Amino acid sequence: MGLPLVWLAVVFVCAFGADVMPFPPPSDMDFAAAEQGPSLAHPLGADLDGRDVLSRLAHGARISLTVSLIAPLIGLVIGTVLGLLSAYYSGLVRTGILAVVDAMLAFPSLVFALALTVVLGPSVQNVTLALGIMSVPAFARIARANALPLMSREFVLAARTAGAGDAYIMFREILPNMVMSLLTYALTMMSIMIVAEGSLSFLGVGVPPPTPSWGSMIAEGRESLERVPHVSMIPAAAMFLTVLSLNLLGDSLRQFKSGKSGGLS
Amino acid sequence: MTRESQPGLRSDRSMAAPDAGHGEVLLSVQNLGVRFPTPRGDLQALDDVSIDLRRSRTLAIVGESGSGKSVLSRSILRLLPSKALVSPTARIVFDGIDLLAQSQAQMQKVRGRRIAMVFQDPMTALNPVRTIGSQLVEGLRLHLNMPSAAAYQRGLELLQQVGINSPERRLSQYPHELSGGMRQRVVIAMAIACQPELLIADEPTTALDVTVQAEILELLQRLQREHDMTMILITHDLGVAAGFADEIAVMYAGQLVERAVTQDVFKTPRMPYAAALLRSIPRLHDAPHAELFTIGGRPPTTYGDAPAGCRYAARCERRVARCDAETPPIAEGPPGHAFRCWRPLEWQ
Amino acid sequence: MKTAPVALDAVAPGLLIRVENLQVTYALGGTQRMRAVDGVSFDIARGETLALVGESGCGKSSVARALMQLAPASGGDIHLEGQSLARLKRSQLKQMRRRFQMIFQDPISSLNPKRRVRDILAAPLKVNGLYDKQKSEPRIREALELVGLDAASVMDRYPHEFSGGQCQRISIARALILDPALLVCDEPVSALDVSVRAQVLNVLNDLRRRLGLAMLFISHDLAVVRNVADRVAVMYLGRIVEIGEADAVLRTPAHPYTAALLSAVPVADPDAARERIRLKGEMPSPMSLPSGCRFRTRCPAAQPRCASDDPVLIDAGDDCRVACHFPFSVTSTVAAPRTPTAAPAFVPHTPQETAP
Repeated sequence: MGLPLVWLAVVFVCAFGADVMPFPPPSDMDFAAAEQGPSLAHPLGADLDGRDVLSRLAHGARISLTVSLIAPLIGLVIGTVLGLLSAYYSGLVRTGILAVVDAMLAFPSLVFALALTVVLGPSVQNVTLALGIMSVPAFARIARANALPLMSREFVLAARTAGAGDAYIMFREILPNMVMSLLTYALTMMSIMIVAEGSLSFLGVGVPPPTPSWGSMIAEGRESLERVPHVSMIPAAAMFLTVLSLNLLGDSLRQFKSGKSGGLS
Repeated sequence: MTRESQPGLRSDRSMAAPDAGHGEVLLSVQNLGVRFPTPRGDLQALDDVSIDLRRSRTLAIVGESGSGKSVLSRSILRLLPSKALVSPTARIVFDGIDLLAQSQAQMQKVRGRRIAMVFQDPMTALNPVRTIGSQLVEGLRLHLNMPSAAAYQRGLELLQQVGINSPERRLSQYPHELSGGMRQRVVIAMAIACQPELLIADEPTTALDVTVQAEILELLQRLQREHDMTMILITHDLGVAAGFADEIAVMYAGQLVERAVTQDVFKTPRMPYAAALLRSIPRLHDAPHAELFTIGGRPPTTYGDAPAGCRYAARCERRVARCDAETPPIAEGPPGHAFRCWRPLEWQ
Repeated sequence: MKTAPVALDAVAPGLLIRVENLQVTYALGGTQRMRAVDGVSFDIARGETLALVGESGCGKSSVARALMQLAPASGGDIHLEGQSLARLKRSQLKQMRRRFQMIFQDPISSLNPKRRVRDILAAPLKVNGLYDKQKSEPRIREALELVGLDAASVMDRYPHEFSGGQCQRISIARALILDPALLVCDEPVSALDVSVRAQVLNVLNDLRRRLGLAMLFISHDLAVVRNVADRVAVMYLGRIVEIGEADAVLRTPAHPYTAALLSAVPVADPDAARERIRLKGEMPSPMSLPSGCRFRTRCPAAQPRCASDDPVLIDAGDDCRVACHFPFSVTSTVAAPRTPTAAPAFVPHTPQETAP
């Protein structure tokens, strides 16, 4: 548990402190050092245009973290509300929500993200928005699956007999019992988002240059993979470690949740 | 020594001792202790339990939740989860064989064949995606190597024995098409299919309606007489135990606290917990709105080594200093009546 | 014995709740419908406990839920304190809800695991806009003391820290917070250990005495019913087959089903005479009810008339009503006192043809 947290802490610090750290600016091109491996001046080497890999990595972390924090948040909030409503109400509300959710699930996600960013223009905000919307159906289904068994629990019935209204029951009685599951899934979603953002940037429809992003860094080093592998491999390794850390964190959170004697287990 | 012959099933046992009459001890549990490792320490589920059961007798193991009665029944058939720790000095001797020393392969030959078990919830005991027939004959073919036609016939006989009409129709039905009482009958049929010597029934009627419960208990009694089986019935319902068992063992917090014939436990209980339990149950012929006797507090849950002293002491009306200082051993008072108490109740 | 149905009495002043011809129907996918409750009527007076007994599938839980407005009634009406519930608007119903509360079978599941006891008990007040920082805290404490719990040590803890019996008492306290006149109890002790049942039953009896609380007590356990009930109604396949004073119904039942139930109850006494009335066959599915009397397929005393005529509840003397063409004869003189340990031996009396 220690190592994943340490790594994530490092990523966090770099991401938000990148500007104040003693890195050369990420767009500074030092042609003399182009394609060089790790050295004193450039601890992680330089890319094809001589830009410092470490610096770009740190600035790129900001993009990855922003997207991976906010996009799942969008999905979490909207998805949870939709899932709760579709579990609580039957009839038209439920059918309608499920139809929309199923349609979104059926739509190829990357195509959707691509389309959105092409239409709206590539930027960090639009990438985040697109990915956030894509994650709504998954959250909605999970929220619904968690809410359904809770609906028939006696404490919900007791609230109803006391005169509680629908909104109270949904958000004050049922929702608190779902929070743990949703957060655990959100953690998994974070790691998916990092990869998704990377893919979009790799395809060239993510964050536009010169802002560095891990995905675009991997893309840039793609052609010269045999010659100077570190240009692609280092951002790839960073992505791998971050995703791994998030997953391990999610696992231990799950363990912790099921080990507690509280909750409905 | 053919295995297909029906009537001779009982004489066919290669593992059995030479023909023994009644009165001989069939099952002897000795010093059984079971612990479950948890983050908070080892949870003591059973502590030094010793019981002997003679052939053809019915023993009811009575206790509340957490008393360890289910753990005890599962230990006999070695059905505990793999992380369970059994005390090294424990022995469970069944017809001369120490079950705790058997390998899993050897236990497979015992389960279903010589010792059978009926569980509380028939819906989870039956596989919902397989027909009754296929589950019923499975044991027959596995243990007795019966060819399908013979097994089918035997299946029909078994269903009739447990009181199910139109058995041909039932064999091709699925569990969800039967009522709870019927499902439990099927489970019992599966249990007696290979004519076991010992039948363990773990709360077999708790999930059933009261009229169905009575029918199932009568069925079990009849089958026991017809097949001369020895039975262990696990229950929390003293009424069921009273009507069904020859002997009763009362469990509390993982220990055996009283053991005697049914009459003695109900009329002259020695251990205060048993007496308190009898006093606290509402009865059909009480006065209405009578104030019921209650036992304050809760049974202790022990992690790690149990402290010295009687586990019931904190809730006992007859507690004295010695009860907190020393753990009472289980000892026989009047012949055949064992109890675990420093200050047992006296009867004239 | 009269054969004409008893006319419903005019509403007596002590009457708390009157259920008239309640019907509850469940849709089972497609066009299939199952009538779980088929015309049930009963009254409960103030401070009285009526027990509703029966086996699974008889509809007793559905009656409770329909009464509490948790399940929609497809027919009939419920009058609470003279007010017809079916005619109320939603906001008016919310007001009425305070008068009747419910406790459930599963004590752990009855409490929100993420809330402290203090908040669980405050919730009904908050929901009804009755929460006041000064006045509500003592009210919560009082409710907890009423059920025998030490308020100070209980208020700030979570449900998982308590045993089943304690959770059930917290549920009762929650039900009392709104000061109801009627408490509906759906199998409140079935999920509890034997020695804990006594605690909860004592609490309920105590509340009955101290607060004059009326109760509708649903149970399949006749011994428990004996302890709490003033009157008993026996249900079978959606109908009441017998209803009357607890003493009469439990000691001298008139309906064969009641007698069979009583004879099947296990008695915690090895010496008790056990003469069981055996019922034939299985309970029919509510989807395919037998013609005439629903119980006739299992009844040991069924006659040809039972297949053609559906019996209605008729007066059987002693404030007892029974739906049977050939009920066991019930004398209105007091039966000889029975010894407490012997279970009454139920031998069906020779069925007597009632004069048409």
